[in-house]
Amino acid sequence: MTIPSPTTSNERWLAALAHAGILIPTIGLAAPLVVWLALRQKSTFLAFQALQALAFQLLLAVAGVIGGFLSGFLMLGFSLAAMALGIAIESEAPFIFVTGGTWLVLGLLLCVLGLFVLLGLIAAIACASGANFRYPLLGDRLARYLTPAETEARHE
Amino acid sequence: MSEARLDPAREERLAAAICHLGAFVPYMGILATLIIWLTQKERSVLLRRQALDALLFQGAATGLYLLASGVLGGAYFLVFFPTMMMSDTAAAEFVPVIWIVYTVLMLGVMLLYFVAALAYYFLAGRAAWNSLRGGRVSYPLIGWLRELLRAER
Repeated sequence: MTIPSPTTSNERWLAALAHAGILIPTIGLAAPLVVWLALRQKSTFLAFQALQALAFQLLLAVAGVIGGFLSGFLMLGFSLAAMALGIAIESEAPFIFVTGGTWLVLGLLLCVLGLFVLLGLIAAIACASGANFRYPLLGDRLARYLTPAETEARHE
Repeated sequence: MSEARLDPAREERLAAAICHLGAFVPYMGILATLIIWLTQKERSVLLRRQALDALLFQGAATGLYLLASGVLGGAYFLVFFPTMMMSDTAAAEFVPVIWIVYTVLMLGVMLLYFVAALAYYFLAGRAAWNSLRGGRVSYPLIGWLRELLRAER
């Protein structure tokens, strides 16, 4: 799209700061928020990158809530099933599998968290080196959403 | 510096969605919503209403959660100390009954917490989606709370 690239080093570092906010859970939300509120009139690049970083962090929060609910359901279901099965066949084996499965689900959630944080870090490095970074799936949609007139002009 | 600008109306709607999605970030999301409301309410009619609604919704939910947690903590001690004193008296046979009733009640409360959390996240997500699409955004009871507090001057 037509969102401009950074021109000054301040722009690059502030965008990197906004993206790096994801490294500190929940409190890190403040970094892109402050950058957006303070500088959105001065630089379109910064306004976009800060909004993108905010949206990405909130996406992580939403994914965390959904993942929490899903894994809770899964663990509850498997535990109850293991309890029933363990009583039925008078064995402790089902419980061992459920314990292993619980660690597996927790590990999976941690891996997803790690991927999000890694992507945020990549975004910060890319912005610091002057790229007009877009997150996969999210970035282009956001850019199209925020510049509707230019998108329409392109289609005509 | 450049003539390219983000569409102001779209930016406003995205900011409103960010306020609504603040519900998903524990404790810090409401601060973000508060900051957006405080700084943007004079600049944007849309944010003046939507950020305020998100703030009231998240504030009411957080307040209710803390209140409920306090009441539950108090309830535990209200059961714990009397049963401890009862165990030396003739009423000792009632102690297990009281604890069973307490446990069943607490299981019900846990279910209630769960349903409330689901409703909270659903309402916040729906509000964010609607504000992104430019639709009407409303939380149940929050309009009434807004009028009651006369928060939107």
